[in-house]
Amino acid sequence: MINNFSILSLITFLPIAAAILLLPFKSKNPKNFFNFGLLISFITFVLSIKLLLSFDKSSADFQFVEMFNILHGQGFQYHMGIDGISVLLIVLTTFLIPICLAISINSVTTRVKEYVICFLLLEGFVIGSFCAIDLLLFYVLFEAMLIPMFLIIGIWGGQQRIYASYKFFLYTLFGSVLFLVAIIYIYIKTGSTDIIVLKNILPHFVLEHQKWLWLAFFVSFAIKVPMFPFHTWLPDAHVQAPTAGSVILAGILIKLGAYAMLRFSLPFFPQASEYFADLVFALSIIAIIYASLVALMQEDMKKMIAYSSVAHMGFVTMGIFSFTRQGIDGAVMQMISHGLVSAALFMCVGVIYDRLHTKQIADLGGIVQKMPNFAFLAMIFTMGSVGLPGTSGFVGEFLAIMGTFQANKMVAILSAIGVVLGACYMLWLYKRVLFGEIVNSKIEKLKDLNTIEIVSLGTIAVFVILFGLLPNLLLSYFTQPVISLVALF
Amino acid sequence: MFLPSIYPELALFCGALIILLSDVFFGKNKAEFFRASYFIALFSCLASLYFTAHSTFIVGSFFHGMFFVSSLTCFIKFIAVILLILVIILSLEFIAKEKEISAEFLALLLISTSGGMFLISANDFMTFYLSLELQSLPLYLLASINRKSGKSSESGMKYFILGSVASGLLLLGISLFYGFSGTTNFDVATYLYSNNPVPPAVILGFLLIVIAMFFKISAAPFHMWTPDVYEGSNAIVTTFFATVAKFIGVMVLLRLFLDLSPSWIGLEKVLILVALASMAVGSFGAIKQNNIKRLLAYSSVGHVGFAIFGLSTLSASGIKACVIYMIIYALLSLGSFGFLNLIFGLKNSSHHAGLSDQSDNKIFDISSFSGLAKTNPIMAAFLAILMFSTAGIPPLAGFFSKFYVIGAAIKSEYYISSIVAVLFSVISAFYYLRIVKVMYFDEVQENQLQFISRYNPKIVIGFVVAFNLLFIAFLKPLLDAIQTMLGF
Repeated sequence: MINNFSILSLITFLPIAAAILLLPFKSKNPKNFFNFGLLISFITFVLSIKLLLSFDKSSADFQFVEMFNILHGQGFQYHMGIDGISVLLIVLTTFLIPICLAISINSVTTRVKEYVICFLLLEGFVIGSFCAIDLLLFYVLFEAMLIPMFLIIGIWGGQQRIYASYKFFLYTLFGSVLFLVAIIYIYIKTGSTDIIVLKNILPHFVLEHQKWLWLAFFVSFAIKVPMFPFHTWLPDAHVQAPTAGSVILAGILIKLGAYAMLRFSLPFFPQASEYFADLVFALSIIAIIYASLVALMQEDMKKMIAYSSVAHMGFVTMGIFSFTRQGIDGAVMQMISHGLVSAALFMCVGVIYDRLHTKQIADLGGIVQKMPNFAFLAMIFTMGSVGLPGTSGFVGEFLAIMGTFQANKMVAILSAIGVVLGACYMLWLYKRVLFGEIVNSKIEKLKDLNTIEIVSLGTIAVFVILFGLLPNLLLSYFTQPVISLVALF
Repeated sequence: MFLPSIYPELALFCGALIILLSDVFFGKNKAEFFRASYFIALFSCLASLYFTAHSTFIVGSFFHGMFFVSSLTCFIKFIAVILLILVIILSLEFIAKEKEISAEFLALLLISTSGGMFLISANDFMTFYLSLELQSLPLYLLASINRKSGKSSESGMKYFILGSVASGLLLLGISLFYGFSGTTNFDVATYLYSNNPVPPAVILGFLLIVIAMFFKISAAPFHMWTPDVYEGSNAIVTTFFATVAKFIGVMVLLRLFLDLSPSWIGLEKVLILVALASMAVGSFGAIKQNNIKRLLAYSSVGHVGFAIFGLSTLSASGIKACVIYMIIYALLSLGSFGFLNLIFGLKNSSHHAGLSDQSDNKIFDISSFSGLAKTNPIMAAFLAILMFSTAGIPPLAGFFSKFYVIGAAIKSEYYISSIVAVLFSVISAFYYLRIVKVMYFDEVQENQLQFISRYNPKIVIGFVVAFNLLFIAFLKPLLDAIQTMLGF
C-alpha cells in the first residue's frame, strides 16, 4: 500500500533519480552540473522542511509511514517512516548537501559531473537509511552509501587518497557483514525484518542470544561512529577526503552509527544493552580523553578536527548508554550540534586550504589580520566545539554528562576532563592559526571570504547559536521518542 | 525409449552437426560463411529452449531409467541454454576474426553444452560418465583453440591431463559404487539404501565421484588448473568455462546430492571444508594477481565455494540458495568475463605505432585498465557496477546471492562458518575494488584500451549490468520460479 502522497520516497529517490538522469549528459561548462545538483538538493531541502513542519511532535510513533511488500511475506519490505530523531537528521542531511556542493564549485574542477552524481546518490542513500524501518532495507542503504563515499575520497582526495579510501571501505564493510549475519539470524528466528514487529519480539530473547546479536550490531555501529578502538580509519579518511567529503563524513555519515544504536541496539536488546553499558562507558571515556590528547599533538588541522570528532562522538555514545532521558536527549542534541559544528570547522579548513594549499598548523599564523570575517565565524564554531554556554555544543555535552551522572558518577567526572581538554586543543588551534604574527608572504595576500562562503558558514553559525539559546526548538521533536525509549529500562 | 525427452539435447547436437556438415560443403567462401553458422547455432539454441520449455510436461525416467527429466532439470537446462545464447552472441567478434575455425568453434560450444544437458539428466552412472566426457572433451579442445599461441596450447594440454586424472577418479569411484552396491542406477541405489545401511566402500566411491566433480567446477583444493587455463585460453572460451560449464557443473553436483539421497551420509563436512577452502583460495589467491583473467579465475574459485557452502546445508533453503547463487554468479561472470571480449586491443596513444590485439596477453594486465573512466566512461561504469556487484554490495544482485546462502547456513546453525564466509567476502572485496581503483583513480596510461565496434556483444554486457542494477525487481519472480521448479 502506498500513501497518496509518499513524501519520504520522494525525498529519498529524487536525488537518486536526478543522479541517474545526469549520467548521459555532457556539458562544456562544469558549472551547469553544479547548478543542477544545487537545484535538486535545494528542492529536497525544501521538501524536508515541509516534512519538518507537518511533523507531529506529540507522538512517539513512526509517521508518514509507507509500506510496500517486495517479497510477499518473505521479509524485506519497503517500509519507510520517521520519528522525531530521524526527521532532524534528515533535515541536517538535506541542509548540508547543498552547502557541500556550493563550496566545491571553485575547488573541484575535474570530473564535475561524477562529483555531483556521487553527492546526490549519497544524499539519497543517507536519507533512505534514516527513513528505513525495515532492518534489511536499512542495511542495503547503509552499505550502498559506501560506493559514492569510496569514490569521493578516492577520486577527489589528497595525496594518499587510495590508501584512505580502501581503509574506509574495508573497515566499514568488515563491520557491516557481521551486522548482516545478525540480521539474517534475526530474520530466521522471527520471520520478520520489520523494526516495529521486532521491537516486540526481540527483547524477549534469552540474554545469551541478545548478547551475541548486540555485539554483532555494536561492532558495525562502533566502526561507523567511530569508537575507540575502531576509530583509526577516520583521521585518514578525513585528511585525504576533499573538503565537501569531510563535511559530509563528519556531519552526517558518522551520525548513522549513533543513530543505529538508538534505533536498533537499545530497543531490540535492552537487557544486553544494560549488560554491556559499562563496556560502552569505558570505550567512550577512552575515546574522549585519548582522542583529545591525540588531537592536542596533531600538526594537521584536519587530523586534529577528526580526532576531536572521535572525542565528541564519545559523548554521544556515553549519553545513549546512560539510559536516562537527559543522557539520550543530550546524545541526540550533540549529534546534531556536532553535525553542524564539525561540518563548519572542516569548511573553515577548506577555506584556508583553497587559498594557501596547506593544512599544516606550522605554516599558518596571523590570518585574523587579513580575514576578519573568517576569524569571527571560525570563533563561533570553535566555541561551539568547546561547548561554550550559548552554543549548541554546550547543550549536548551538558545534557549528556548530566544523564551519565545519574547512571555512573565516575564516568561523568572523567568525561568532564574531556571537556577541558577539548577547550585546550581548540583554543590552542585557534590561537596558532588565526592570531600571532603573519608567518609568510602568502598570508599577506589572503582575501577574505567570498559570498558563497559567508552565506554557507553564516547560516550554520546562526543555527549553532540559535540551538544553543533555544534548545527546545530541537528537543521538542525528540522528547516523545526518547521517553518511550527510556521507558524500556 | 521416449525420444521427445531428449529433444533439447538433440536440438543442440543436430545444430552442431549441421554446422560441421555445411562447413564441409559450403564453407569454401569463408568470408561469409561464419554468419550462417552463427545463425544456425542461435537457431538450434532457440529450438532447444523451446523444447526445454515444453518438456516440463514430460517428467519421469526414460531409456530404461538412464535418463531423468524433472521440472528442476528442465529449469537448469533452460538457464544453461540462455547462457549459451549470450556466449554465442559475445563470440561474434571472435568468429568474425578467426573465420577458418568459426564452424568448429561453434560446433564445440554446442556439443559441450549438449553433453552438459545430458549430464544434468543423467540418472545412471553409465550415462553420467559418458555425458561428462561428451561435455569435457570439447572443453579441452576449446582451451587450445588459439592454436598459434603457446600459452593456449599449454593450457589445453594442462586441462586435458588433469581432466583425465579426474575422469580416472570418477571411473574408480563408479567402480567402487557398482562393486559394492551392484547397481549404477540412481533410483535403484536410492531405493536400496533408503532401508539398508550404506557400506563404507560405497561412500568412498561416492566421495571419489564428488571429487571428480569438484575438479570440474574448480573447487579448492582441486582448483590448480583454473588460473592457468583461464589465462591461456581465449577470452570467449574462458567466458564459456566460467558461465555455462561451471553452472552445469555445480548443478550436477547439486543433483547428485539431491537425487542419490542416502549414499552421501556424513559427506556434509567434506562439502563445508571444500567450501571454506575454496573461499580462502579465492580471496587470498587473487590479491597478488596482476592479470585480470587470473584474478577472475581465483574469484570464480571463491564463488564456487559460496555455492557449495549453500549446498552443504543439504536443506531445502540451502539448495534454493545454491541455485540462486549459481544463476546470479553465472550472469555476473558472463558480464565480467564477457567484458574482456569487448576489448579489441591496446592502442599506443603517443606514437600511433602499433595495435596489439587479443592474442597479446599484456592487454589483460590490470594496469592496462588504468584511467579507463576518463577514456571510456561507459565501459568503466559497466565494469565498476559488475565489480561492486560481485563484491556483494547491496542493492546489486551479488548481494542477494550471498544473502540467501548465508541465510540458509544460519538456518542450519552454521554460525562460525557463516562468519568466516562473510569475512572472506570482505577480503575479496579488496581486489574487486582494486579494479575500480585502477579505472577511476589512476592516471591514463600511454597505452589505451580499444574496444570493439560491434554492438551485439556490448548489448549483452549492458543487459547483464541492467539485470544487476534492477535485480530487486527480478527477485520475486526468480524466487517463485525456483520454488516451483524444486517443488519444496
